[in-house]
Amino acid sequence: MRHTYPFSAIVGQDNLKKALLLNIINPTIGGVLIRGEKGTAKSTAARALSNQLPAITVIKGCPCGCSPNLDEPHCPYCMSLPQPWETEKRLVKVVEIPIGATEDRVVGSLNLESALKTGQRKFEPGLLAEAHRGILYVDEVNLLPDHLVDVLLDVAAMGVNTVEREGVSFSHPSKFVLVGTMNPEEGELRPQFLDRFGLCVEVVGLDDPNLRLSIVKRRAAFDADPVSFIAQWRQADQAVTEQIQKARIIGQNVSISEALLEKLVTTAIDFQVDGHRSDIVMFKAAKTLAALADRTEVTYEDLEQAAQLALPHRLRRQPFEISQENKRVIQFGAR
Amino acid sequence: MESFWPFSAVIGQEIMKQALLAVVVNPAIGGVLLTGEKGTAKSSLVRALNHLLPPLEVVVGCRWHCDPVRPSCPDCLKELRQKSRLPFLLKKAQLVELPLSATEDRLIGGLALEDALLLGQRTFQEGLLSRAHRGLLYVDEVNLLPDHLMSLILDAAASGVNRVQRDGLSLEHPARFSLIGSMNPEEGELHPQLLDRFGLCVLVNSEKDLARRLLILKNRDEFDNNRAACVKKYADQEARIGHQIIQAKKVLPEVRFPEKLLSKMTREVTAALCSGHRAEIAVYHTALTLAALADRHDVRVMDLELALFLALAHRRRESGPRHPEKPQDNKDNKTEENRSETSAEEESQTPPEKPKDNNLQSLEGRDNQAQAGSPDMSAENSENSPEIPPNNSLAEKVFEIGEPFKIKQLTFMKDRRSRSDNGRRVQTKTQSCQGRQIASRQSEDLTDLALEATILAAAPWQNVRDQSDLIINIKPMDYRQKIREKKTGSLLVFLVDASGSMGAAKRMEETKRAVFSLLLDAYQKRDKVAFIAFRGQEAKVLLEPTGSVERAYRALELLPTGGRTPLSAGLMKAREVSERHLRKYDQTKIVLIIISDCRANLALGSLSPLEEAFAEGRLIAQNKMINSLVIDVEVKGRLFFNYSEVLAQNLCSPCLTVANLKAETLVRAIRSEIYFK
Repeated sequence: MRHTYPFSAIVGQDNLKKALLLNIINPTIGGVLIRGEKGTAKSTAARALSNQLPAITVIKGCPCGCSPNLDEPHCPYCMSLPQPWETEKRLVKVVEIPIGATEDRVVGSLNLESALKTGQRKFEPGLLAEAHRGILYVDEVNLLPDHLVDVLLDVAAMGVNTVEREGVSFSHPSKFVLVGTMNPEEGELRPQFLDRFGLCVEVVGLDDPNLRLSIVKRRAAFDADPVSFIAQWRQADQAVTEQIQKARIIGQNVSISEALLEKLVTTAIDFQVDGHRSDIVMFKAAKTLAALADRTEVTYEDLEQAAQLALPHRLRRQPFEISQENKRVIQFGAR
Repeated sequence: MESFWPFSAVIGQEIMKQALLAVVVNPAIGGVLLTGEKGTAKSSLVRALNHLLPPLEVVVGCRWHCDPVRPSCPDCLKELRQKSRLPFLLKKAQLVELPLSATEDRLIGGLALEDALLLGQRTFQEGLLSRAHRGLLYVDEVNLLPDHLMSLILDAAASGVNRVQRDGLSLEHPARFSLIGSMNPEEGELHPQLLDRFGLCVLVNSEKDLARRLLILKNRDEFDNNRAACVKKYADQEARIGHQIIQAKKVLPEVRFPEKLLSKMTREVTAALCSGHRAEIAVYHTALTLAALADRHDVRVMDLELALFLALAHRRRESGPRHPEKPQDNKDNKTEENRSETSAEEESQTPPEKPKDNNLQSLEGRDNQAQAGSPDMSAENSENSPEIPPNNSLAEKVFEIGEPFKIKQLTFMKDRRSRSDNGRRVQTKTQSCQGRQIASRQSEDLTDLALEATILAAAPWQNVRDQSDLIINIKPMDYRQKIREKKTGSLLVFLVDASGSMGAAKRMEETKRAVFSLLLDAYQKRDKVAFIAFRGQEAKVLLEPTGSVERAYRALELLPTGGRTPLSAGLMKAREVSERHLRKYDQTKIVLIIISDCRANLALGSLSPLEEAFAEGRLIAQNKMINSLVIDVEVKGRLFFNYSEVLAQNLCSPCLTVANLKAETLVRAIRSEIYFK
């Protein structure tokens, strides 16, 4: 089994960690795009998440891991089962789409065994089914072939995967937290796809020699003896998981004042962001930030931080206009 | 899955709502295209329609759900001749969604596997086109729809019939549907032929009003928190809209179109210079339907105006008047109860511009330059711009990049070569197991097996073949391999003349603008770019081949001008870069774009500078993987040399001016494509 580097052992990169945590606390934020140079713990952080995820209740045998909650959408498989459903607990999955994946594996296809043995057309769920209620992770997302991006565009927005291929017609819920990493040197993401990521963080290597040193030390320790390194950090990881669970509970009661809400919307209008997704994401991120800080009221700082996470990649610009220009820090000023 | 928004819960977007309702009520309008920014409830609204569709009268037992009064399948027609009336039942109309990942057999239908295997019979399994008959076919991100699916839809939409000739099946069935598409123009344009298929086109914008934006936000939050309660809250309004649709369907045949307005309609449509007559038909039906939706028996001016606005948005050609008369502020005489109080304002907000303008949104802060670079500059300025001798302007200068313009299609022929690179410009067959499956072929090879096709091929033989514990016995003769297709990008090598002569008469500005526009195009097509400039004594590679168009932009921005013109050195460098790239990616198509006035005045060897450049050009022309394109920026004053033409001849390439790089101003009705070799 492969060992995963513990989440809490990652040095620095607070923004990155925060953005990931926000998404776990509130999956409806819509994922995070991690941009940055090579070797800045992008993938490590994303992969480490899997250890931080709390367990969920699913319907037994469901290929999509549907929730037994009746208000939630269900796949045709669950609908065909007699109610009440049998349930079981399992960990949230981190599903990775490799760059070379084929479309049929991503969206699902015809089930070979059933076709051969019984002559029945049955649906074989793909990665999108597996990722339902979990995390869909794409490393080097800017290198993902176009036809796969096309598929993800719609599913990520609507939370439903409709499959019409190879004689099977099937539609199942597929809501996931989309996490992508990319190195902007290798080209940009398509604007439409960019918008599907709720938040975006820019990561850079650390400058502080001391911090750099501790990165090297920790990494060396992990590589030498992963088992005891993970054990050493288990408690810290546990604390993060508890923090997540606590924030989830608080998150239901966080309120935001009318004045701040107005500020939020004015910001979005001022920055001429396309569409309304930015407002919604900012709103949710601000609330979740408050919850993460153990508060039940959104503060100005929460909102500012939320804007910095949700706006930069949505600013209207030509596809490759110099990004520095857009990095002008998003501040509301004292207007 | 009941997870979608209620139609009436969407705030604002009244025009889009009206257009969608009109299409539901009257299929003769011919569908609607929603185009605009991301995150503006386009898809949500369409999917919400599903609950509002009215019941249809369907002939009992007809598998194509024929209309009892005007049936279209042969069986029902025969029966109608015998009986005066056909028995019917009510069935809900369908909103059928076509995902981008769909395969051909699901769209048009194919062989039913179960019947083939278990009974040894060839029966037809219905596809989406059959399900969409008399209903709606919805394609999200319609501009990204693969070509092979698009041509099938176009064919069915044009004839109203789906003809199936595959898997040993031969049949046809009626397929009349309203096409609904949604798209974001940033991702590239819609095929012009498909564009014309849409009766109406709505340009969707986000809400800019603070109060309403707040409302949207709160609404959404409420929905996320408690879906069920939210759906219940809007149940009444939904029912009202459902009723409105049924009522409108009833009223529709009785609506009258006053003669006076009819002539106004023809005048307006003529003034818009639309191609073809589909526009009038769409306007006519839309106006009638809008009146019916308002429960009126006669078409009024406001109906006509909205209809004109919706039907001409994507058909209008630029030389017509700037925009159609905007729908009046018809707040007072609005009769529909369901309209929210905000609709009139919303209507006046939607800018009546053509959809293609959307992706040319002006760069903020660059407006002043836009003035400087008026679109027809290269033609107009030519007469009176004085020629400055090249050697006069040795001083360096950095010119600004102007506004980009739209590049006309530089399409390459789809070729038979298999490629493995990613991109979008060139369509190619691919041999690696990547890309979209477009078909399958018989092959003894077991890699990339098209499972379904293989099973279908084997199915008819099962009666005579020996089956042990499996239900199907597959022999090598049944093997079908997938044929996949994907688009590959090319490498665009920009060779830019940055010598002193280019500083004269805004040539460099014009050049940068042209390069910028080409870069934008390259971005949309996922091309790789390399950037070489020559000036002074040498040619420099400013950017090695990269996928980051952003970097090319930076190189372009910082490019100074000044010095002599070592054209041959530039060409040599370009060949070097191209050949190096070809060694690694031997199947990439390379497009060498030379932007210069071609007044070479520095040679590397003993030949004259021009001679040397021409010789180098011939050398490049010998490499069949390199296609070149010369963009002549020489100002054609009283004295000009046309060296670019000669160089282009040596390169066996076309020679263009910046002016004829620009995309047609017509709605792409004329598709002039340049085919390289």
